[in-house]
Formats: sequence, structure tokens, C-alpha cells
Amino acid sequence: MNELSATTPESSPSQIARMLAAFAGSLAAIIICIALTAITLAALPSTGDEPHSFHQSIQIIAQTLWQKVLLPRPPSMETGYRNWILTLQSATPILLTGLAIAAAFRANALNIGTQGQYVMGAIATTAIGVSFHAPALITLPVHLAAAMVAGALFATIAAALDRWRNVPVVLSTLLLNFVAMEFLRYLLQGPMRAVAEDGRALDPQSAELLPAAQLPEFFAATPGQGLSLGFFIALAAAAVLAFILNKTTFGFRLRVLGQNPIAARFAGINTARVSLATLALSGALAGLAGGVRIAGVAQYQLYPDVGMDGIGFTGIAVALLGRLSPLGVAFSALFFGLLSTMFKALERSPLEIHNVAAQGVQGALVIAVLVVTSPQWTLSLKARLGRRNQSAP
Amino acid sequence: MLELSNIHKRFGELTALDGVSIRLADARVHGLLGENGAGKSTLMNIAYGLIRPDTGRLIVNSQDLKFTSPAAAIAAGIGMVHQHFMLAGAMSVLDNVLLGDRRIGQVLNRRTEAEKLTALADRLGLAVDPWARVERLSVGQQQRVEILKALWRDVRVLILDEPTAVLTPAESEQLFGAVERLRNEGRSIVFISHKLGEVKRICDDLTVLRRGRVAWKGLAKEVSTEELAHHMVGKDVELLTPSHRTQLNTPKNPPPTPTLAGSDSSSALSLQKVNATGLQEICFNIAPGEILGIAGVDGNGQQELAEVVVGLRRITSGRVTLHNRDISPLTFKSRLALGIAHIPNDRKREALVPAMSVTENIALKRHDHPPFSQTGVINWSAAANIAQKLRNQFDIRTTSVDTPVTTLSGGNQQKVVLARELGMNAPKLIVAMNPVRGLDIAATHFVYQQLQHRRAAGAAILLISSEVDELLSLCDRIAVLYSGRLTMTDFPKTGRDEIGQLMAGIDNGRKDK
Repeated sequence: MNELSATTPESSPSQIARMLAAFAGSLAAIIICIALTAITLAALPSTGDEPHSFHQSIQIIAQTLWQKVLLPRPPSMETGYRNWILTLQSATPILLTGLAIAAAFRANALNIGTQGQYVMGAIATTAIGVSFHAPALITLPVHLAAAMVAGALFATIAAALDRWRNVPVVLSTLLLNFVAMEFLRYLLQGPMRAVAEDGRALDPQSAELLPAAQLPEFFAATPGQGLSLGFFIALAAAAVLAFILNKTTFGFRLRVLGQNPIAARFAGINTARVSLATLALSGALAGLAGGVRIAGVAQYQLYPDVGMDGIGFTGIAVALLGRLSPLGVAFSALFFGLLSTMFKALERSPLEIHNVAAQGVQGALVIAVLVVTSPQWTLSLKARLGRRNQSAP
Repeated sequence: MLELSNIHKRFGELTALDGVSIRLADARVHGLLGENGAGKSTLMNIAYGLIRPDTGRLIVNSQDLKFTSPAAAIAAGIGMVHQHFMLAGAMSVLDNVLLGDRRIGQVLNRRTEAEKLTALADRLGLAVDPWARVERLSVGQQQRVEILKALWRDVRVLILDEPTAVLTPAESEQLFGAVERLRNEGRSIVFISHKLGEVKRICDDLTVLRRGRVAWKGLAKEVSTEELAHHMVGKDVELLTPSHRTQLNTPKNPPPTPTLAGSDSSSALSLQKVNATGLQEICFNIAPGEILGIAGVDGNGQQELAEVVVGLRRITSGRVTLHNRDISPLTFKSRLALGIAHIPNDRKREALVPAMSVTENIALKRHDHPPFSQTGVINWSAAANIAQKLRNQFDIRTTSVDTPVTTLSGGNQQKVVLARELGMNAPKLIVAMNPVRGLDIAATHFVYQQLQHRRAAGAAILLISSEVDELLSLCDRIAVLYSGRLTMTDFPKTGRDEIGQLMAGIDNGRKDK
């Protein structure tokens, strides 16, 4: 990921130090978070057959974490680097929705409709992927571009409502999420519903993408278990976004708008146009997440649960933990991917911790991490400590 | 009885209050006068517990108190009606009044409470329907609600912060009647204003603040409005000595002859009968190498005038020309290219992006032009080089051009603005509003020097300021802006006192001048 760090402007030593300090904070928070997760999960009553003491539970969790999440299992024909691939695969869509949130939030456009834009992207990719007969070199760019356009257009609805009817973006994007979810349900009940060979309607889900529309995978021990090209697309998107934010005039305008909209106006920046373009960019990234999710994960099909999988919403947490910088978002997405692998492993461990419990703990911890790493909180803590030192004789 | 004694308060480098004492007697109306930024509101916000003073005592009924919050002030019997109302618009008048009620453990009977409220309102001549929704009321009626809200808690001291600023003359009369009735009930009223006529009419005691100090105090009936204007504006030249002025005022070009309103081939900027929100029939010319000063108390159309000239505000009628070219239809962006420099009133809010670096702020207005960028990609090393050069040229004190401007002192922040506006190419027109507000002496001189320098180079300068001294020492001509109308003066024949009176809205029949 060296190309990411190279795109920050003027990498003077002080700036690098400041960046490192910022990331050190996040990293510390992440380590504390994992430790707390382990302790909390160990303290939960075991759902497995045999009871475990707290001490045993900690041991099992540590062992699982080390052997099945962090270390690759001994490379064998069956498993390969399965756990690492799992981590990167689950990091892929949330990296993209995290970037979508980061782009919007940097301009102070509170797009919380990434879930809806993600769903629209998934729909676009599926619609093209199940019906468009062409070689992969054509199909893949076409359906991913369609996903981006679908997400961008869906986000533009919110921008237009803001521009002409003064509807707050935070409200319209939130509500549009439900529009997208219901639209998805309708499509899977009707127009896009897969039909079996004998003409019977199957469960409400789409047909499988044509092989040419499926993203190629790497390091696959068995088909459908590899690392999809989507991960590299997401990394490239992070690099592109970093370039846009730091090196282009549009990115500069976007950041000025986010930092001080009044000064933006006094500098002759067309603020309405910039915020519209920002929302479109954000929606495009979220749409791409949807496309990559459908074309990059085995089964390669759209089903109702995609609407409620929370990939778009998790993007908010990912982006905030990554401090709205593309490089930070990439690391933060990897962390969330790691958590996901860890919970899956724990479910299969002797503790049999149910995924729902794990998700609850994850949610609470994300909030804690966000509070601890928020710049305001750090600042006010520093100020408080400073005052105490001053008042001390 | 309330007394504030020897109050000091600093905001950063700005001394807002410098040893102010004020004593409010029962059954008296105390007028608090002064220009914007003189410290009136700061002083009263301290009395109301909104701001904590650095040093000073607060004495209520010969007891020392510490006011830590408005709640404490209210408990001590002090109420305040702010310039900007603090009402819940969607709720009824009665509910707004009851919001401030501190009784606990009782069941409210709204009908009885409404009767009580009506009785109170009638007694004071502030009739208002208790059941009306506040957002449907006129501004004058909303103010009544604010006053009733304060009186509902039976305050002994009522502070009114510029209460007539939002009222029509008829509403003002009703307010004055209510103030008199409150005084007759034995309450103490503080009346903050910069309208001399009404202050003299309804106040018993007066205190005039100027730059955070008490400039004058005494009885209202023993002072004339002219004397009050004089005390408000002051006469001691504190910023520039006369010798400094002569030294600075040696332009290369001969001083231009004042021109009448109307198009003139020799003028750089010309406004003809310009109307816009907050401005009426504005006419003036500025010649190249001339500084036109616009005096006036803040809020009389200064911000609007600056925005009209630079192109941030649409005009409803009239013409704005720059070197005989009609620029009224041009956008801000295209006017920028014509060489208009703009030093806005509020540098942190309007001119700078505080969280961004010096380089980024230098690039702000020209980031989409070479050498800052090409085909949409910014060349940050070129930008940093320009910033570095300007940093040396304008003596911007910072550890590096990568430092966020928020960490710079006020003077150095203003230097960043000046460097961006004046340092990169010679502007033809400079619009500056209160360019030295909050700066120390050295930075102030630097700003003045830069403006003089640009004038010598032939720029036309529109200097809008509420500091009369600044205008007297810098400008070739001075006009006064009062409630959106511009009056040209015969400066330098017109003196400080006369300008001060015009600023306060006293016009001795020189309208047709």
C-alpha cells in the first residue's frame, strides 16, 4: 500500500510524524478493543455443550485468535490461506462503503444512505451480470460501471432534494435506504426472481451471474473460496480517492467546503456544485461496493438479505475509525474484516459463541473505539489535563 | 441593587473589558452606550452569568456573588432579553413563558397560568395572546414574550440588549411605556443601545463604553446627544500619530479631486444608485490611487456593501462599474479575475480555512489556475514555493508553511490573507472591511502600510471600518453608512465629531449635500 502514503501532499517529516501519531492512536484503540472483546466474550455464559471456566475460555479465544485468524493454518490442499482470504474478502465491501462515507464526510455532506446506494449497485451488477453475454473483459467493466452509476444517481436524488427543496441530506439519504431495500424485495419477488429449469419459481433470489460476469479469484484452494479481484479493486479505489482528495482541484474544493463552507463561498467556490459532485462520488463508491459484493462472492447472486447486511452502515464506522483518510479507511476495513473472521472462528470453537452475541459486542466496542479516538475527545482530555497541571502548584 | 466592580475580560489578544465598573440602582433605567465591540454585551453577559470575567467583583444587595451560569443569575433576580430571541417557535406564548418557570412538584393548570400571564401583560401594557404560537407573532410581539418570560420569574434587574434594533417606531413607543412602568414598580432596567436619542429620552443614568473602558458616566438629563456622540467615538488618536499620517500619506499620484456620483471616466470603481437587501440608493466613485473610507456602526449595511462590490450579493437595481466596465452581471469568480482583492470582515470565518495549512490558504482563491494547478491537478510543491516566498515577503511568523493557520496569531493570520489578496498580482480594487480588528499595534501598522503601499501603486481602495480614527488617518475621502444609506462628508473639512454623529444617525440637515 505504498502508493497510498505517497499520495499525501508534501510529506515533510513533521507531517509524517503527525500521521503516525494519529494512526498509533487508532492502532492502540484496536488492540485494546480486541482484548476487551476477548474478555467480554469469555465472560459470557458458554452456549456450547460443556461449561468452561473464564480461564479456559480466555485460553480458547486466544488460541483461536492466534491459530485460526492471525496465523495461516498450515497450508494444505483443502484450506490454503483460508482465514486470511476470509479477512480480506469481508474487508472488501466495507472498504468501499467506508471510502464512500469518507468522501462525503470530508465535504461535510452527511450521506448515511450508503446502504441504499450499495443495494442499487448490487442490483445494477446483477441485472447486467445475469443477462449480458460478452467476454469477461467487456462484461466486468460494464457491470461495475453500471453499479457505480446506479449508486451515484441514487445519491444524486438526495443532492437534488437538498439543492431545490432544502431537504437535509442526512434525512433524505437515510430514508432512501428503505426505498432501495423495498425495491430490492420487489425485484426479487418479481422481475429478477430466478426460475428453475422446469419453470417453477425458486426462493426469492436472482439467478447466478454468468461466468464472464464473475470477478476472477486468486489463491483459491477450491473454486469460490479464493480472494476475489474485488479486493484489489477496492484498494485501487482507495488510492484513487486519496489522489482525488489530495491532488486535484476538485478534492481541494471538497475539503474546503467541509472545513469552512463560508470561506468556500468567499473564495468563489460553487458550493452547490461541489456538494452535488461529492454525493455522486460517494454514491458511486457505495454502488461499486454493491457490484463487487455480488460479482466477487461465491453463489454470485442477489438475495433479499443483501438489503439488510449492513455493509453500507458499517462503512460509517469504518470511515470514522479510519479518520476519513483513504489510507486509514483501508486499515480500518482490514480490522473489521479481522473481527469478522475472528467471530466466525469462535462460532466453530468449543465455546460456540453465537454470531449474534459477537456482533452485539462488536457494535458496543466500535462505539467505544470511536469515542476514544475522536479528535474532540482527545483534545478536551488534553485541555483538562493541561488545566489540572496548571492549577497544580 | 446590582454592582459590577472593576471587571476585566480578555478574549485571546483582544481586551474586551479593561476595568469597568457599573452600579445599577433600584427604580432606575440605566443606559449602556457604545459602538459595536465597545464591550456592552460582554459586560451584560457577565452580569447574566454567560461569560466569566477574568477578574472583578459582582455584588448583589451588598453580597459578593459568583455567577457561574444564567440559572444562578436568575436565582439572584437578574433577567436578560437578548438581541436574538431565545424562543421555541412551535410552542405557544404561554408554554414559552412557563419554560422558564422553576416551580417544581406542582400540577400546572394552564388556564389559571394563562390568566396570570394576561394580567401581568396588561399591567405592563405588553398585551399578547397567551395561546398564540410564537412563530406566528411579529418580531415586536416576540420581544414582548421574551420580556414577559423574564418578568414571570419576578426579576429585580432586567437587561435589554439593543431592544429597539428590531422594532418599528410604534413598537418602540410601546416598549418605552413598559420600561417606564417597570421602573415605577421599583425594578432596575439596563438599556443597551447605540441610538442616542431614545437613550437620552428613557434613561435616568448613563454609562458610555469605549474600547472596553468607561468613557463617561452621569445623568441622562445633564448631557446632550452631541456630547454623547463625542464620548462614544472618542477623540484621542490612539493608533496613528499625525506625523505618521503625513509620512504614510504621500501618494505618487496627486490626490484626486473628489468626484460627484455618476459615471466618471477617471474612476476605478463606481456605484450608481445601487439597491440591494440592506442598501438603498448607494452612489460613489473611487479613483485609482484613492482610499474611500466608509464609516459606520456595524450592522448598518457594511457587510452588504462589501458583498455587493465583490460580487457575493445580487443587486436589485443600479450599476457597479470597474474601469468603465459594467460588472454588475458578473459573478464573484469572474470579478476575481479582474483584479478585485477582498479582505473580509471576519478572517477566521470568511477569509481562511483555519484547519488548513498556510499553503492551502494561499492557494484557496486561485487553486484552479496555473501555477497552482494544471488540468485539475494541483501542484503542491509549486504552491508551497509561492507560500514560502510570500511568507518571507509578508513576514508571516510560522514554523512552516505546512502549519494549520489556526495555530498562528491573529496578526499572522491576517498577514496570510493579505499575502493572498495583495501579494500575488497587483489588484486594481481592494475591498477591506475592519482589516485590523483584534490585531496588536505592530500588526495594525503592517496592514496600514500594505494598504498605503497599494494605493501608491494605483489601486482603488474601499475601506469599511467602524473605527473612526483608522479612517481619519488613512482615507482621502470618508462617507458614512447609516441604516443602508450613504452620506458623503466633506472630509477633511468634516471633523471627527460630525462623523461620529452621522454614525449615530444624527443628521443635521445635510441630507441634500
